Amino acid sequence: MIARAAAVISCLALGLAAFATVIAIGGGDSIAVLRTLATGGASSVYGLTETVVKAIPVLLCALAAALPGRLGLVNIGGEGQLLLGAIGATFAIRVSPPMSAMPTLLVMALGAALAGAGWGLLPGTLRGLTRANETVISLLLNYVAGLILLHLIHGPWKDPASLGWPQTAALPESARLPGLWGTRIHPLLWFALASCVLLAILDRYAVVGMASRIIGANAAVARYIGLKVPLYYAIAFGLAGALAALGGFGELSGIQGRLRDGMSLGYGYAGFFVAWLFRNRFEWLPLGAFLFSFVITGADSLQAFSGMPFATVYLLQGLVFLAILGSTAGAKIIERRIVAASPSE
Amino acid sequence: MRVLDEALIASVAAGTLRAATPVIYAGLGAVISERSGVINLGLEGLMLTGACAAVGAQLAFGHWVTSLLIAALAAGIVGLAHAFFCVTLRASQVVTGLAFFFLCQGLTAVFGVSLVGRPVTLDVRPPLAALQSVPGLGPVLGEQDVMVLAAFLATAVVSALLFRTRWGILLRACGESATSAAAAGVPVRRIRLLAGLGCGMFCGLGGAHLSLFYAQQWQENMVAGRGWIALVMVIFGMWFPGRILLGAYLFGGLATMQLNLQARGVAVPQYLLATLPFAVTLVLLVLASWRLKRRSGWMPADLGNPFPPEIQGKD
Amino acid sequence: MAEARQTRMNENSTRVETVAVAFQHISKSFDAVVANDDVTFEVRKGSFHALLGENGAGKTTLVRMLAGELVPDAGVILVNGEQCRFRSPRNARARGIRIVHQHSVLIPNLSIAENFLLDGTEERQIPNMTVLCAKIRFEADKFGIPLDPRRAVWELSATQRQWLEVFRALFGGGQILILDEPTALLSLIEGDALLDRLRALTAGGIGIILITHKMREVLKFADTVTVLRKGRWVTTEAVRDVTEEHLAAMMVAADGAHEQVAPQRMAVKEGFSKLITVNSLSCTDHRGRQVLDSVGFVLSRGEVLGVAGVSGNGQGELARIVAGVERAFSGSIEQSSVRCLIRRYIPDDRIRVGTAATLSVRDNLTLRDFQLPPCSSWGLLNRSVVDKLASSRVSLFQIKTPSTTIPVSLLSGGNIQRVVVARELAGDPDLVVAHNPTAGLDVATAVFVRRRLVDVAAGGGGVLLISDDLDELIDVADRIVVLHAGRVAGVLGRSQFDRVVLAGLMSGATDRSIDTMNSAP
Repeated sequence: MIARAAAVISCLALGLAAFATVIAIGGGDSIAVLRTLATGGASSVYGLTETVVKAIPVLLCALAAALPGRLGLVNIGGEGQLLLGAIGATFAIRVSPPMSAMPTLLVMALGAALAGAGWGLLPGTLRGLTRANETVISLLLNYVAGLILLHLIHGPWKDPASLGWPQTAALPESARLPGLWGTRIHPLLWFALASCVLLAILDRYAVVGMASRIIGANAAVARYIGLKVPLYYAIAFGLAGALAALGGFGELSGIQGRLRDGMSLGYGYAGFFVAWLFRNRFEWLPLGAFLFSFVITGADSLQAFSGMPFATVYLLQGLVFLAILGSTAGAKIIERRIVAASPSE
Repeated sequence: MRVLDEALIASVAAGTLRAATPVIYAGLGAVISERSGVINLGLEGLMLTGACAAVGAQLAFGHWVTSLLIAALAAGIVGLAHAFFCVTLRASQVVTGLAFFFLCQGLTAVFGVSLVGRPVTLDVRPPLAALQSVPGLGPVLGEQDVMVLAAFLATAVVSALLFRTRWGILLRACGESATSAAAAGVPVRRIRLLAGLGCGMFCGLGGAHLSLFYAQQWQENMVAGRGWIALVMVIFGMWFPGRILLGAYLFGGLATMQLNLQARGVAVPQYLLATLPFAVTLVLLVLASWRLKRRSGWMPADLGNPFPPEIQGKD
Repeated sequence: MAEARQTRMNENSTRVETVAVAFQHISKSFDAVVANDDVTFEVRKGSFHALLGENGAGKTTLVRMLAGELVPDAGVILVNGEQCRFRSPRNARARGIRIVHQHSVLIPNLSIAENFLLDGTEERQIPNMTVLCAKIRFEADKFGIPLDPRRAVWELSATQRQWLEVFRALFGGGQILILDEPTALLSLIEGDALLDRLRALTAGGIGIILITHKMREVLKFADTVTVLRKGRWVTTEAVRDVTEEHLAAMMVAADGAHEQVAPQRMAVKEGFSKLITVNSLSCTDHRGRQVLDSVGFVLSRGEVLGVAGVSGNGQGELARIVAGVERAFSGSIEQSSVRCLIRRYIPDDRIRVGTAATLSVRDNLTLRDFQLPPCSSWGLLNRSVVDKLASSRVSLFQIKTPSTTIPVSLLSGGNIQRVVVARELAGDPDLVVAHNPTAGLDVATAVFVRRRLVDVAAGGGGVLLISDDLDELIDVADRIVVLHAGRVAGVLGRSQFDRVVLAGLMSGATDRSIDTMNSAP
């Protein structure tokens, strides 16, 4: 146990060192980059609130990855599902008559959830019916979602008043999520946290939680004790899509105010990473999302302080991912006995 | 009017060949890896690595052969690292692939910072330029660069390697049944690691073609999903190198069609058209999976399984 | 008696130049399990040496060390007088040692010729397949198995594959051939033909080490026999000097051999209702080959219906279809009762298919119960009820486990099967499909499982027992259906049970031809 922790920590340190080296080779100031990433989020009150702001979509996307993850599926389509949510919410408000704030927001949330659920159902049902790899499908759909968004903001939904900038018209006041305590943090925070709690409770105490665990452990056994596995797959992915989509709704309505390019700072992939890091345990996801957003917030100011692009944070993510993956896998080999006796080569 | 049609057809054909090439190389890399039993979900990242390294090398040294070699080497090392994680550390192949995808995205973004916006000048002419005037295939092949033509050769070579040489048979044995192969004395782990290296090298070449010959510059995330498309084409082609060509051409055709229609002033929703390759790829994946569900004999039987095997079988 | 044996041993061991393989004080353990304990004996050149013993005697482990797959913890192995430390199968192969495993290691998707290449017989990078194929075809004809080396291995039947395995071992110069239960998948007639062929090889100086638990084979074909019991060497004697009773006595441990489960079973009462009627069941495998062909039979309540047959003749598919796991088939299974039958399934792969290995013992025990009251109410789990249920099953089925929260994969094979049986047989099932339920289990657990199955039948349920173990079927079943090549070859009632008849049916011989082939075992 201690050995495993030591292995992980040392590999993490190695990863960070590699990160610094790569930055240096790439022509950046490693120290500045590391400092910005480590402290950017806490440099001011604004930094902290921004961390929470970013944590909301990350958390929702982490839930979107963790829910199918419990069943042994890989949902890396959070990115696309989030965008579909923003698109769905925009569509909803475009087709609905003017209403006051509450109904407007509810309609938009519904539009987002439905769009996201639909997007998520594609890999979910296809996996159940045809055994098609849900990872590849959800990932390809990310690209498609991005292109659909571009089409909409360059074409049919383009705001004529924006002088050529590809984006939709600004949302009316009633369609904007209010900020809490004078910050940009919007009420979806409560929804995300509540979802975590609810899912954690279901996982531990509900029959569906147990059933999900069985499916995740051995789908064949689950089938022959009568669980309808494809149905679970579909529902899990549908819910996941809806959750990520609501994150998109939050970004649209609470932060951006209109549909435009760059709605997501890689929240989908970040959510996947967080979910994997915390082994799809719902109760840990808020912490993970917060930690990750902390780093992303720092990355926002990377360009300004060190001349490195935002994508640098992906590099860090990748290195940390590999460091932890490698060290835990290696530790498992040393600990666990391998069943089939293998001849030495 | 006939002349216009002919020109259009030739243009589309030529564009198809060009656009398909990166996917062909990546697909060949994927076949090598998967036939040895390791599924590599980081193909996109490997291609990015190759693309970035190629541009960097070309801008630094100016000789295309050197650039290709460096691209292949860079991506090859990453491919080897991926294989190391999967084979030696026995990490989940799916998760490892995704992790490398993230890593390469970030890696190339950082290294590519100094490369963005700098066009590449190539020191090589299309080898068949003399054939331009030949009616029929002339215009199609005449403007193709070296790598496009070499793609055919590469496919033939990989095919021959897999099915006619001893190494190919050993490699396929590792992918069909690692335990049986090991029982016969085959060095399974070593072969899988080398296959990972080979996969990386081919993907690197694919990425290099994209950045050096096709776009002639570097852009962040320029591979734009081709790696995933190559992955699906391998499945659709039932792991036969020759059949990957079909899928690659389909992709190339769809990708070219959009550009061609736009160039001719046809009012098309360009972004929606751009989704076509992905949509078609998805359909192909579903078809192939459905077929495999009923007749799974085509898939390398030990694909995705660590060696020596785990206790618990997954669905 | 013992002294005479020892003298014979000494006489043999002085002639060193005639010794092909010598095991000296070989010991090997896996964790706490001792597989071999100070084993010492010799195998002479050109002899047909049988290694006899019950399950778990250590035979396979011993020969795997000779074949270079395992390294001994202690002791030395001498080959042709020289000490050898084999670090890999390649080293052993270089010495002419070949091993044919119980389970075929031929790779189905590759062709026969390609499989042969794997052994390293062909060193060139671009092998001339035509020449290789011609060579294989020629040698195979000589060996007695005509084949086309270009065909893929998956096209061959289990029997053909077994012969091919033996042939492959010889092709490319095997001098010492180790065979681990080669006739396990073959019928009586096929097995005898194979052993006969092997005996003919010894004339050419090739040494054969045959692992078997069938005394018949030892007495009929071998010239020397070594008996192992619980990892220890018991005796090595010339076959002409021993009798069956003598060998049986040597093999069997003190705490009882094959306990009979069923003598107290009564004949199936007449008038017991039909449980299910299977009609024209057919299905194909994932390559499109016919696996089951118009299989039909009736299973009644209170009956244990045995299904015999050489493994690979459709048993797995039949088990899965009747258990309701597999849906892709043609034909029908009609049930005679109106309400839904409670069907339970004990699969042959107990770890991969029978349990969710990463989940706890408790979760595995309650897999079928957690969704229903009292374990759950209003969609929520009642943890204390679940815990109590699991504990009661642990004690009822005598499952040895330190706690119910550990992952089930940590239990021993026997206890894992007890978990599966506890879960599947709880709650009065109507129909139980059991596929090789006692394979690889210790005697006590095997007897336990058989008793529970018989109890199900006694309680009015029906049991479909599909087993490779003929002794088990003869002991427990009321009737036996024999499968061959996916078809029903015959059905025997309890009074007609006869090993020879069954063996004939299993190998595809018709009733009439059995009489002519009825040579005394």
